Formats: sequence, C-alpha cells, structure tokens
Amino acid sequence: MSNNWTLGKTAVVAALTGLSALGTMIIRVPIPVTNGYFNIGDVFVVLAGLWLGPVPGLIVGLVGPTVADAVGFPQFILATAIIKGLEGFVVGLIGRHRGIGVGRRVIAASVGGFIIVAGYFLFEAYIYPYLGSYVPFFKVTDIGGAIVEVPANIAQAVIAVAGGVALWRPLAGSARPDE
Amino acid sequence: MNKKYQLHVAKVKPVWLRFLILVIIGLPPITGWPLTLFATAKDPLHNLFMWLSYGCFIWLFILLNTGFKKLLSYLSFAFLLALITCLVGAGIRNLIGFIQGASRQDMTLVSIRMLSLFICMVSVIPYSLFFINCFSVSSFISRLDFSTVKNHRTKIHLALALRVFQHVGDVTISLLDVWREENPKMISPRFSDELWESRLSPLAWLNWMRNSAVTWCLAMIMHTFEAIPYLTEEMKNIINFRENR
Repeated sequence: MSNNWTLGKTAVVAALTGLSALGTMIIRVPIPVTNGYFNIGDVFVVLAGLWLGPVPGLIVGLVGPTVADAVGFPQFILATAIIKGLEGFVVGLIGRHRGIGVGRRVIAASVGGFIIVAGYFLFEAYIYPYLGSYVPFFKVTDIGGAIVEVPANIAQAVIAVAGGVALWRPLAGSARPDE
Repeated sequence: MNKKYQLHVAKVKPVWLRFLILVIIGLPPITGWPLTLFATAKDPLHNLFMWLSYGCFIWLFILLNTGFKKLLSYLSFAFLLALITCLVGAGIRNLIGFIQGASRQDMTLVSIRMLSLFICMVSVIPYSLFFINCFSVSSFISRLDFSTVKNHRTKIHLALALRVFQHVGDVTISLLDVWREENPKMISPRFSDELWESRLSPLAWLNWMRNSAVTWCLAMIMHTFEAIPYLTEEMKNIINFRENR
C-alpha cells in the first residue's frame, strides 16, 4: 500500500463499495432469457474511477457489485467481478487527472459503459456457455440470450455514465480524500 | 422473547467455528445443496415449498438469535428489495409473453419463477445481514495488534474499511424508518386521502416512484458519507492511544 493512500481515502472507497453493492441490490430489474438483471450500481463504480482514480475504481467495481450478486444471482459473480473491476480501472485510468474537462470525463465514463455492454455480451455469449459445458453451474446463458440482454445493458451503461458524471461534478471542486 | 430459547451464535468462539456454522446454515442459497437433491423439474410448486420451508427456518434462526425488532428491520429491507425485483421482473416477463403470444401455462411458470426468486431473496437477504452482524468490527479493531511494524498500515486500513462497510449496512436498514418518518405523505394511508385522487393516473404513480427512489438514494448517500470523518478520526484516536500506551 503506497504511503499517499490516506485513511480518508480508504473510508471513501469502502463507502462507495457499500453503496455500489446496495445500488446493485436495490433496483433490480430481472431480464428474461438470461436470468440476469438490470441495476444502477455502476453509477458508484464510475464515480469511484472519476473521483479517486484507477485503483479505487478497480476495488469498488470488483467488490461492491460482486457482493450484491452473491445475493440471489451467484452464477454471475465471475463475470461481474471481472467486468466491473475492469470498468472502474479503465474509467479511473482515462479520467483521473485533475484539470481535464468534463468532456474527457464523459469519454472515460462512456468507455466504462462500453466495457459493461461488451463484457457481458462476451461472457454470456461465449465464456459462460464454454464453462457451462464443464461446470453446469455456469450453464445459464447462450448467444441468443446475450443478444436479448444487449439493450438492457446499454440502458444500464447510459445510466452509469449519466449518474456517475452527475455525482462527480459536485465533488470535482472539493479536495480528494487523499489530498 | 423468552431468554430460555435464545441462541447466541454471534458469541460462539473461536471465530472460525462461528464462521463455519453460518456457512453451513447458508449452504442452500449459496450452492443449492441439499435442496437440489429433492427438487423436481416437473413440479415447480414442490420446489417453491422447499424454499419456503428454508426461508421459515432462516427467519426462526435469526429470531432466536436477535429478537423480533432486529428481525423485522432485516425483513423490511429484504421485502423492499424483493418486491421491487419481482414485481418489475414479473411485469416485464408478462409483457414480453403477452407480445409473443405465450400460453397461459408459460405465464404461470413465469409467476412461479418470480415467486421462487422472491422467497429466495427474503430468505437470503436477512441471512446475509445477520451473517455480517455476527462479526463485530469494533472487537476486531480492539484486538488488532499494532505493535509490529510489519503489515501495520494494511491492518489499520482493512479495519477502517470493514467499519465503514458495516456502517453502510446499518444506514440502509435504519433509513427505511427515517424515510417513513420524513415523508409521511408519500406512504402513510392516514395522510393520503387527498393524494389518492390525484394519483389515479399512471403518470402520477411514476412520478411518485421516481421521487421516492431519488429521495431514498440521496438520503442513503448523505447518511453514508456524513459519518466518514468521525469514523476516520475514531481510527486515528485508536492508533494514537495504542502507540502512546
């Protein structure tokens, strides 16, 4: 752990992780065919990336939504951990620097949104069916189901981008917890 | 509740034994076993009954450990999440089924599936909350050994993260009461006479739902973050106290 990682930063990362888990759990809209669900937990993953940088974004994305998936949808834990972790990391990597405009933050958040859509499609269309041929636990989706879920994932990504940037803006002027 | 029947799983020592007991009790929702041994593909109602029995067992287990008040707060949160998920899910599935011209039997299966998910959620969520609260972060912090330099910082940060994570859970459960107190006109029937007439249109209901969700989310964010300076300060004080002792 680097020396400039303060206690305040840890506390904020833990709070965003908890909020991300709750955001994923509270508004869940089940999607037919794949048995997955639509949620708003990504808002906090994007916020963590934009506000705190790639490593906090990775932690929030990796832990928060994964904890939520453990309640009722355990088959998606693997996909969620990888996709949401990557989402937070990439958003933080592109949008972390101070002084860059809102436009670049929106681009960073949009790349995160693209990772959600592409990542879940990849997992549901190819990786899960492949794993399912060895472990029945993962046999929950196929390419048809993955295609059906794309519009819901796009809506989820749009909400994540809009919500994440909207929550980041009031925080942009304030000091970061590691400063 | 009669103390004669009270269980004290949260006080079982050593901690690994407590963890093991809780994992064994939570095996059905985590792995499906052993309920899957008795499940039949032909009779979904039979499976539903099995999950219902398991749910009753979990509620009884939590009741015997925590008492009525805590169980009710866990259940209110669990029902809120489960109702949102299953009502919206059932609505969407039935709408798609209606558009595709699905048979009555298919529609019934959708309802049974949503009911199964509902029962699963109202069993698993109280169990998860109980599981988390069985491990006291405060006692974990007080037992941490900060005397060795090795891993000193990691331990402190891990302890604080756990403390904040548990705080988020506490806020969410108590927020339901706070929200109800602060917005009586939004949910309480005794205030709603004049509002019901204006809520007959579906748009008014959508507006009500949007306002409820936004108020709830904002309150959740604010109540979560307002405690962070105190929790951080508390941790700093513990460290200072230990180092100066």
